[in-house]
Amino acid sequence: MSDNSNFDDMPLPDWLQGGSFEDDEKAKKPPPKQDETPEVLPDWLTADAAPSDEPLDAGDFTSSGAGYGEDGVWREEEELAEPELELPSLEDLTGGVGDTKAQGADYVPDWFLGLEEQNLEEAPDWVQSTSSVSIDDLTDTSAFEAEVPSFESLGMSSQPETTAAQDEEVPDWFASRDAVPDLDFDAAVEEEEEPDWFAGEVEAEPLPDLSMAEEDVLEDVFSDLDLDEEEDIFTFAESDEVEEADAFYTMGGVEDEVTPVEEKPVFQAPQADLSWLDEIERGSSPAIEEDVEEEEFALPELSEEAELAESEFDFLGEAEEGELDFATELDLEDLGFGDEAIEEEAEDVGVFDFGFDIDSKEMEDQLDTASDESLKVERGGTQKLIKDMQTSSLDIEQLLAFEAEQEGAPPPEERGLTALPHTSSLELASEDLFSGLDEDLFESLDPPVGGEGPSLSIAGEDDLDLFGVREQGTPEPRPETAAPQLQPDWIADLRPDVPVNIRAGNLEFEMEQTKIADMPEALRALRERSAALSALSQAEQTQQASPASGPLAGIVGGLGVTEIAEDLESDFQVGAALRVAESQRRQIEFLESALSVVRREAAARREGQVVIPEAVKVRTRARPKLDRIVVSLILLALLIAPFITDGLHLDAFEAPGSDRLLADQRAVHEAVDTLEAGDYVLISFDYGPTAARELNPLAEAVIRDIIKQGGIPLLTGISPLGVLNSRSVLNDLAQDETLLTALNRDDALQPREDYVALNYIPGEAVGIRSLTRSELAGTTLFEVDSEGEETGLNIGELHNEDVAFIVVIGETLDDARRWAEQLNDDDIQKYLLTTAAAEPLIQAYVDDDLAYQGYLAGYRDTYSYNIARNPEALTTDPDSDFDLPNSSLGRWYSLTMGILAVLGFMVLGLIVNLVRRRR
Amino acid sequence: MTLENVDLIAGWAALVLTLMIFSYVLADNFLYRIAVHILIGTAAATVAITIIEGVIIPWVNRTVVEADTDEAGAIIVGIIPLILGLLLFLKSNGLLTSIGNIGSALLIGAGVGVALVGVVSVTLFAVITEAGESVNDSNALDATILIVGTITTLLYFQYISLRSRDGMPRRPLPLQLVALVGEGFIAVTFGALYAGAILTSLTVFGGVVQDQLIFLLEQLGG
Amino acid sequence: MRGGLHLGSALATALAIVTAALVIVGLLSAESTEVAAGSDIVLQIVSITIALAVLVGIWNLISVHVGRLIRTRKGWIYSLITLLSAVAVTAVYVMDETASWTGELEGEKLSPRVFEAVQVSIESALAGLIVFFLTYAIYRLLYKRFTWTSILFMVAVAIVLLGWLPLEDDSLVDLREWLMTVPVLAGSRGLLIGIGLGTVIVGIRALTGYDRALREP
Repeated sequence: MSDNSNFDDMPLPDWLQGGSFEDDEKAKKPPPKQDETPEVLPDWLTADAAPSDEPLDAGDFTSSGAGYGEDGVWREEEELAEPELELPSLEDLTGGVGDTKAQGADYVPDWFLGLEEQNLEEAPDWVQSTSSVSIDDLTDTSAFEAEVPSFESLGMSSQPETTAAQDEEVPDWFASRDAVPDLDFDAAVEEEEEPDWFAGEVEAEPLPDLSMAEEDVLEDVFSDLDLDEEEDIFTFAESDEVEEADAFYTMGGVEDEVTPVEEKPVFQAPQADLSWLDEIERGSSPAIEEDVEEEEFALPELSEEAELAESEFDFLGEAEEGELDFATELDLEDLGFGDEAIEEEAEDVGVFDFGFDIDSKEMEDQLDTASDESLKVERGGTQKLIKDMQTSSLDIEQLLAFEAEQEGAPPPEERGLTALPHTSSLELASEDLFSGLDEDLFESLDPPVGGEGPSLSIAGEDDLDLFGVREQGTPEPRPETAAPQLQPDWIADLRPDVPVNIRAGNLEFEMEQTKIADMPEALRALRERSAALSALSQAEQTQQASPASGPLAGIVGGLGVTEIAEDLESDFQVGAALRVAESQRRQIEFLESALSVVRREAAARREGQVVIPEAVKVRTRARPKLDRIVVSLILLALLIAPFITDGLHLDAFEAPGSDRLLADQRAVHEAVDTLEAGDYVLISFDYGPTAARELNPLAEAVIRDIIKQGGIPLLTGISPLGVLNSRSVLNDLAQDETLLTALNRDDALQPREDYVALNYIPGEAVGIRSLTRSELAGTTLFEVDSEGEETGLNIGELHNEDVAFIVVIGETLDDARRWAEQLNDDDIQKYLLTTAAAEPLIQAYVDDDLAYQGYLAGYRDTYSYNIARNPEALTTDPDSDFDLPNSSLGRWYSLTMGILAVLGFMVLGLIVNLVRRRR
Repeated sequence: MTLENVDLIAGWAALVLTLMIFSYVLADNFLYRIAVHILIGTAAATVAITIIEGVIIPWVNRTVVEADTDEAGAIIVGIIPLILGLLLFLKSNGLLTSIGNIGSALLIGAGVGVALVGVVSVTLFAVITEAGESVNDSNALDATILIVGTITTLLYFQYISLRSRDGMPRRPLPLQLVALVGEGFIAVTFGALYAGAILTSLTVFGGVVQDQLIFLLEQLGG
Repeated sequence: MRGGLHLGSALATALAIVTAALVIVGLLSAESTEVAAGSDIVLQIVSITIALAVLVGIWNLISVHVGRLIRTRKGWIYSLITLLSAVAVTAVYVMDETASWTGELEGEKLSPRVFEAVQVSIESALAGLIVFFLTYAIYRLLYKRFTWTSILFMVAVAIVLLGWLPLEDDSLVDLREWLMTVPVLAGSRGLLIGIGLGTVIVGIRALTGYDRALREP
């Protein structure tokens, strides 16, 4: 129950208190400040306030408070707390009748002032004779009391409590206790939890007749406005069927010519009882009419082909906003909404309505599962609505006019629209919502013909009529179509031969699609899957259970609700164990296992243990690569065959002779030729067993030559395995009969006499550097051999006089770099024996002035060197019952066959990949 | 057990181990893994024995055991590496890792010093000098190719870039052209390296087949 | 403890910088100077320490396999094989050194045969496997990318391989020779200079204390 005590204590405004003549004089002074006298008459009611020449802004009439100000700047509600409304004065509204300054219980017009104090008996006879009333009647000022709308008339049951600040915002005529009745808001809350003005229970005037299928629905409503005039911006060439006006923006376009509909409208205007506002808006005031002119909203005429700049349509934003607000205050019947029209013209597109003035109660009913079919959207109508939106784009002309259903109207693309194609106002309103959709999509979601299927709605069976389509009655059977019924156009639009219309704001352009054949496989599968999904039978959709309640109540065809959590059997209790689904439990277990590994490793690390992460073995069945197997088998056969048969010993690939050695290779045996008996040659075995098959023969060839020349090889190395390998090489060479024969010896080579097998040089580069810098290092190395016996070598720091030259045998570039960089003594010559793999890189270190004065690389140089220097070194095979080719020759031709096989596979791969790419 | 028997056993072991390794061509299997782990064990033991026998023992003998009493410096020098080695061993202990870093610091410092001196004096100075002098030894075309190839190959790895209008860093056009030429030289060099690797692997495979074939012939031929 | 950890890292870093500076100055100085003598001693000490570092690494390897064997973790069988192999080789070497062989093997050394039979054969077989993968790789070279550098790469491979063959026609041999001594040499020099520059940069980082190897425990 509202408390009117405060209201009783509030001083009445002057105009309610009634003013005397003297008060009128006082009223001429500047109005006091609002905080001092909140009851001051607002400016727009004062006689001083002249009607503004500026067009009225729709925001000025907003009830929400926020809106565009006069300067076109959007202001929030608080900013508009004191709008400087430039509404016409009351005097203008009343045609100059009555004094607008003071309207109170004691108000009397000026001309009447003082009359009540006069003695009627002293009035002229003509007054007494003509007047049929008594003096009391003459002095009755009740006729001049302002007709303050009551709260009941406003649909309010109680007066809202206002604070002092609110008093400043609320017009005084509204805040007055006497002027307005007590409004029982509590009752309103109890009843419907919203003000009565929003309840929609009140009787509303019927909506205009919408039974104009052939014509614009609101043609009669806005017939007074002629958009064909040049000054009307909404005039376009294609406007032969569009005529409507910017009545929304003029606020005066609502005419009384609308045929009233007898039936009670479903959606009621919240302000249906604000008839007094209707009068204002209907232009009963000439002030409004003259203010709200089309010229106020006149915008430059635009040709059909002209592309309207976005800025020119800024008003649309304003208009939309204002329109929204405006629509909430308008009587829907003024907009042409009427149940009768809805019933009879179910196929009508409907009236353009932003739909925000929805009766809340009706909205609630729609959200429920009530079977009220009165609000069921006519499917065909909605589809047509959407089709209308889809087939044409924005058109201002149609925005203003409520485009009727244009059966057979050609799509805009056929009309040749380019800039702003024809569209309906509905498209403007709902363009963002339904852009890209097609009626066929909704058709596919609709129930089958003649069946009671799910309605095309998003709020249950009874749709929220977002577009003001209040179509009732049974749904019209959907026209049957063939296969396309199950294939919406938006999928059909994916045909590569049909360009796609893309809309972006006011622009529309066509884009060629990617041909299906050119689409990636994944996209193609997605497309087919989408088509299959959209081809779900309506029966399946109807069988789909729709939630009984909630926001998805009544909706079928949507995504199913997945229970992600088990229902709680009991009320939620703080500290109770959470119940999770199976999938969540698996995820938790996985995370826990991962965390346990991390914790274990951290604990092990803390304990100082070396943690070797366990390799996760993923048992996957790898598909064998057939081409890899084929290549391997062919290569294996070609590599082994020359050892078995001499059929592949091609003459073209006969083993090279000594003339194949180039200058750099010849430098090695030239250096060996300079050896004298007893000269030491330091040979560093810096390779491991991996290159033994290639470098052992090369090392053996050079050492053989050195020994034959009388030199004494000093075997060492920077790798322990290399040193062991060197001992193995010398062991074999020491007992080689061909060498002994060449030396004319019978006994084997003796260590520490014919050769010295030293220990390995520790420290790699540091050790090599220390050889030439440290006496201790030299003595440690050369004093004792690998067997622990003294060598008798008196070598400390390594100098050129200690050794004839150094032979470095390495398999990688690093092996060559190490000796080149650390033993860069110009007096000590170095020669390199390396693999074919390292040959391209080590060339940079080979030169007379550089680290190495010559080198030998690979099996080819070994073979050539042996031919040139060690002809007795050719391997002789043991006798056997098998007639097999010589293994050395077999090895050579195996090498050539391998090279040919690699070249062949390279060319084959080139051809195969070229053909594959061309396909 | 004679020496021939030992050689026979060794030969058969080598053949079996070779076949176990070659089984990897088909797929990874336990035989291959067994052979690899045998290699790891033998290599670790071999290296350790070689180092102890060939380096540590002679060093200790030379500096500590056989040193004269007046060669205190030699003794100290001989003991220091042992201490440093012990510090390195402590690195495996979590609590004493920081102490073990002292030994690592010495190794890193000496290695850096040696590497810097060698790289600058040989790889940078000498190679660059030789690259310049090779122009005199070659004809004009070869000299041009040598100089251009060396420079463009080096510049290919330069990543000087400017930020373009779209915010993406891009090389200047001249540098792009130079890098393009360098990329060609690098492709040729890598192609030669790849061919060399093929040759080496073919040689090694041939040597393996030859050795095993000879062994089989010896066994089968009687 | 946290402060001590930082002190140790700082001390190690400082020692590394001082050692590097001493070695550089000593190597660039004349051999008769004291700085050179000091650097020589440092180098000798470091070379022996590096050998001991290799032993530390081998010890770590053995300890890991022993731990895996004791805890019977996954793959403990392979660890057992590794340890047995190491023990067997060590035993052979010990018996060689101690001349413990008897009979006809007396005075013989079996360790080279073990080395040949096991290490050389296995590592050679591993190196021989590479040829299959290299061949398959060049067969599939153009499967993913078909660029001009790939074509140039294949042309270089073909020239080097064909030039390696001892054909009667020397044109391919000469072409290979020219390829190796001119374009390949130019590219090699560029690569080596780049490697050298990178080594210098890494060394400077260590000299200025930016090396993280000593800053982290």
